[in-house]
Amino acid sequence: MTAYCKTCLPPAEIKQTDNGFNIIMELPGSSHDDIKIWQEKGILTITGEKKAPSGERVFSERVFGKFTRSFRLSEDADLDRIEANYSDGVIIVEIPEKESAKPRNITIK
Amino acid sequence: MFSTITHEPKHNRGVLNLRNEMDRMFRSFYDDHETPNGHWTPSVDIVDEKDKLTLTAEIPGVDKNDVKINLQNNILNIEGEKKQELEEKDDNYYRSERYYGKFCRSFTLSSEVDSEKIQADFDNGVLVVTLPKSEKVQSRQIEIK
Repeated sequence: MTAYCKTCLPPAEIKQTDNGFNIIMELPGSSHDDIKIWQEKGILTITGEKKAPSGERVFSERVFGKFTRSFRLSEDADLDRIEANYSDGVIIVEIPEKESAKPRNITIK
Repeated sequence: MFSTITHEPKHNRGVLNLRNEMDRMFRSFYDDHETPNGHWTPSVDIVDEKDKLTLTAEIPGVDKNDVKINLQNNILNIEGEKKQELEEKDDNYYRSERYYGKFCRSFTLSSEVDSEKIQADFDNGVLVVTLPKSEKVQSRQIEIK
């Protein structure tokens, strides 16, 4: 088994919510301006950079550098209403479902 | 290849659970970020400067009130917990590569640190502990008379 590239890709989580899906990614130490998120042809891409602080490290486990991760979105995703928030080193991209994709009750006439 | 943890709805557990356990076992061999008892290990850097040591630990998503730092006998101990929002709905299927739970790390500091002046900040998911060296251990140039 080859060694994992365990830290060069920020860990992500995909979670179903009442309104759709959330993509959650851990980007500790990135600043708001270092992160870009865009959607093209149903593929959501998050790119950014973790910048190394200055100074000589005597003990080093953290990994710094650029990263890119892409996620193929469901056809039910409402691409115009995607929102993202970054706080405490975690980015949360909220991807709501289209109203037409939500389950609804049909009244019997 | 990167590791993923698949969380399945309760009714799907069984064979998949066995598979997850196998994955978990292999992961614990190759990945030191999660220990078998469910704890995880945040990545830490230490920078040694002339007058201080700066320790940075990546703890994204952790509430700063859930972190405790103490220094005793030159051993710096950082412990805390990353709490997971529990939404155990049967249809709430999600995939996760993130680690949750308690963490604890201890570091023996080589230089004598002025414990009164330790400062800790939490910014963008990174804990920054500044440990000023006490004046008596700071190197100084001695003039030849």
